[in-house]
Amino acid sequence: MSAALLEVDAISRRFGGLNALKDVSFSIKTGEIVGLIGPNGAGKTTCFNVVSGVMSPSSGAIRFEQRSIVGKKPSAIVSEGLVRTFQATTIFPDATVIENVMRGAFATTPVSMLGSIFNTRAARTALSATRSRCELLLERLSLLQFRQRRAGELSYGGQRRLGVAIALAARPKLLMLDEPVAGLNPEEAADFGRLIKELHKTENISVLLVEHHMRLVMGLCDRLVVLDHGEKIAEGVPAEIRANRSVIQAYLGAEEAA
Amino acid sequence: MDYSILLAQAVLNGLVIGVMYMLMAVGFTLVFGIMRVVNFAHGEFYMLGAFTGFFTYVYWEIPFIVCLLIAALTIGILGMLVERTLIQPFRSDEMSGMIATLAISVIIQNGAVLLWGPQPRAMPDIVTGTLAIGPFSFPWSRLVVIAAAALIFTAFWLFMQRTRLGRAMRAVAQDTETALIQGIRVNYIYPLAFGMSVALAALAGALMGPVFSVSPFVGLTPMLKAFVVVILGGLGSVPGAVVGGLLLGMIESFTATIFGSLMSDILQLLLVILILLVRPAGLLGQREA
Amino acid sequence: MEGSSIATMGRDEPRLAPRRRLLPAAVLVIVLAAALILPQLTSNQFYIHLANLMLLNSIFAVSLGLIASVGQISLGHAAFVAAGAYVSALAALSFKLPPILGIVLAGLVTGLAAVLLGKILLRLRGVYFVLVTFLAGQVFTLIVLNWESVTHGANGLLGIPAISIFGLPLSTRLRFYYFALAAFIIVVTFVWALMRSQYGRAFRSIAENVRLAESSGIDVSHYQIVAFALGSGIAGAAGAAMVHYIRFLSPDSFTFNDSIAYITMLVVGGRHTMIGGVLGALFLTPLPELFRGFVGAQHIIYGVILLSVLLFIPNGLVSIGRSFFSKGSEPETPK
Repeated sequence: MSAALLEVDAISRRFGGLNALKDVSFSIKTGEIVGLIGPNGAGKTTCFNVVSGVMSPSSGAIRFEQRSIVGKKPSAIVSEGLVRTFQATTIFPDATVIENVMRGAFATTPVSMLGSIFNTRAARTALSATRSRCELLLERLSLLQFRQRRAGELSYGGQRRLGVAIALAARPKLLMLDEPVAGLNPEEAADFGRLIKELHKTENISVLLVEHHMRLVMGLCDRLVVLDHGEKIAEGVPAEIRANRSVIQAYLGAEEAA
Repeated sequence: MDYSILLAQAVLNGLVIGVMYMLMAVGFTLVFGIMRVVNFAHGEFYMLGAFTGFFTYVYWEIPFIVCLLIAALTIGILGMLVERTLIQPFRSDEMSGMIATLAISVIIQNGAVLLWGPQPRAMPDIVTGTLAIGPFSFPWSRLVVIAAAALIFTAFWLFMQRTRLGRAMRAVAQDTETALIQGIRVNYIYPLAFGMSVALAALAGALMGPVFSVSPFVGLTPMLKAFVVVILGGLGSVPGAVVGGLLLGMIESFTATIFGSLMSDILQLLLVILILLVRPAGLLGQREA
Repeated sequence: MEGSSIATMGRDEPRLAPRRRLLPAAVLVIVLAAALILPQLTSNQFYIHLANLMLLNSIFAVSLGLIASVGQISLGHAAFVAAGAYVSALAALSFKLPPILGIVLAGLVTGLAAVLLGKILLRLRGVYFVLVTFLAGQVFTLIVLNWESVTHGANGLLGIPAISIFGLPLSTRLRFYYFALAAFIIVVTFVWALMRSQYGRAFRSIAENVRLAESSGIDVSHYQIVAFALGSGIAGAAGAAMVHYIRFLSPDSFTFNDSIAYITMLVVGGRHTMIGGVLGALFLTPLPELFRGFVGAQHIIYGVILLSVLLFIPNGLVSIGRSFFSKGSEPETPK
């Protein structure tokens, strides 16, 4: 059995008196695509924020490649190879598309800060290599023709793809996607699913996916983790989850309440 | 004996400035809570209120309570106009909105210098005499200020709690988008909230006119203190502004009695920075998620 | 704050063709030549004084722009200017430190102070930061007023020596002009190189989208402190240079009104670009001379200009020039 890439070990997160997350544990092995699902308010986003370092857990441990990442800044966690996207604010709207990706590649551009001020030959070489790498990413996400466009001018789907390109530019080992197809039409969503599958192969990355879109999740993920009211209620391959009684109840219950 | 009189005096002074800071901070924090605007002109509306109180009371010789009403009304309407014309365009841009209020502040203050000259004017007391309780004697002029401020705040509080409009304002402060969905018309709420906020500042100014003097520069200190209060109490929190205002008044009064007023100011400001070190969202403020 | 300002600064522009690079270079040479020669042609000391103030104000506005480029506005900028001025003036008066070294010292001290203060203040986002820079500026003024044994309180410091270079005292307005011009060129070149570098990329990312910047591996608080320290250090050094020119210093020399004036210059010129601060300073510094004799009118005019620019040309004077020049040169992109 290969070692886990990400181990989430009994994390909890309290807001005031409220338990947004309670003793949640799961792990992701190298090369896996794992889905994190659950009804609204189940704690998926909190879980995402805690793992990516945006907020710290009230208790519990998180290890990435066997090293603890609790208490590290999000930017430091990115350098370890754990990169996330956001639901809403996925891009830098006023910068050009290529500049967006160059910013995503900030931490993986091998250039000394001083060198970049003096614009040394080494800095220029490093930056142009990064630029080529970014253009390659844009091409893969069929955004290359828009490289000089303002990112805010892209279509909604285009902005979503750009968000992924920014994340990929940071060379993730584990890519965490926060509801990447929310707001896309079914066709675009299906395209996005294929894209993730493809990137998973070509870029050799593992994926953790928070998503509402059940068909996408079921078709894409090797394994699912289900949260409800901040607790993990089930874990398993999609077929198991589909048949799981407490999962069905959680979703039905949520629907009845709504 | 000597000390207890000194103590009683310090408490009284602390209460007087405390209620003034409270009125200032409540208005300031209200506008921030509802509109996300940091109003750097807040102190200038205090100054305008002080001048309105001064002119109506001294030249028209009408009862002071009428002067207060005039000040609240005129400055409140002026505030609504300012909001509609100069602040509304920056609704989506906090930073530009803040810079705009800086510009408004500069214009109002220097306009006042042009109109009324820079020299401070003394205003006669509204009431004279003292209230004697045992060995202590309290001047009525101060007690009236405290009572009036308490009354004004109570009226404001009842408005926010009991009326539809007040509830609508609180709804907008809590969550603008949900309020919009519920059909609350932000275009009415914003100018109203701003008008009310600066009317509170104007009332504070008019009340303090007889206590301090009246000049175009009197707005700076109360505004500075309102900043301190909202940092103590958390931006956007009305209860925080009340507690913070009274607390700061007391701290100021006591440190000034002991160390002198300049040192007191330094201590207060250092205290704020210290508090922010420990609690970046203010003493009573909620941490943003 | 997110997604608001500073965004369009230094977009990733395509390399200019050689011919298109020639024109800006030619303009630069002509402007520089004019800046070198023109002061020799006038005997009016007042114009030269005005030019000196324009150069110094440009540095103040540009250094504020550096802080603003990470999406923060400091309302205590004048306090850093004043702090630098006091450091160098006191060092010269008490320890006979040559002013030219005093300026360097002032820059280092204020920069370091900004690092320490930044570690506290920059944990605060947006409005809290602005409020506290405002308060910190007030604390500084109060301390200067109160610490009379060192600062002479409200009486101020008299007899501050002029800068002297290789034994040549810059005691005339014209001599100081060339010093200020050199300082201006150094600062502008430095900030330009900085904004073009990976630092600039990090700054702009933070200004435009803090969360995404952090999750792109950009250490937000680190770069905010860098920007705050560099901007404040430059302001402190320039304040020191100014005090050896004016040669008098009191708590009233640099006040909150000056902080507002620097913000006005930056916003009016265009807060998204470095050159905006320069333009704003060049435009606004001589303006009060047109309204001499109206007491207080100068500030009102500043206020009105600031409001009008915010309302009608939110990206500042620079954006007018840019839209004029860039007509028809947009790169064609297929739909």
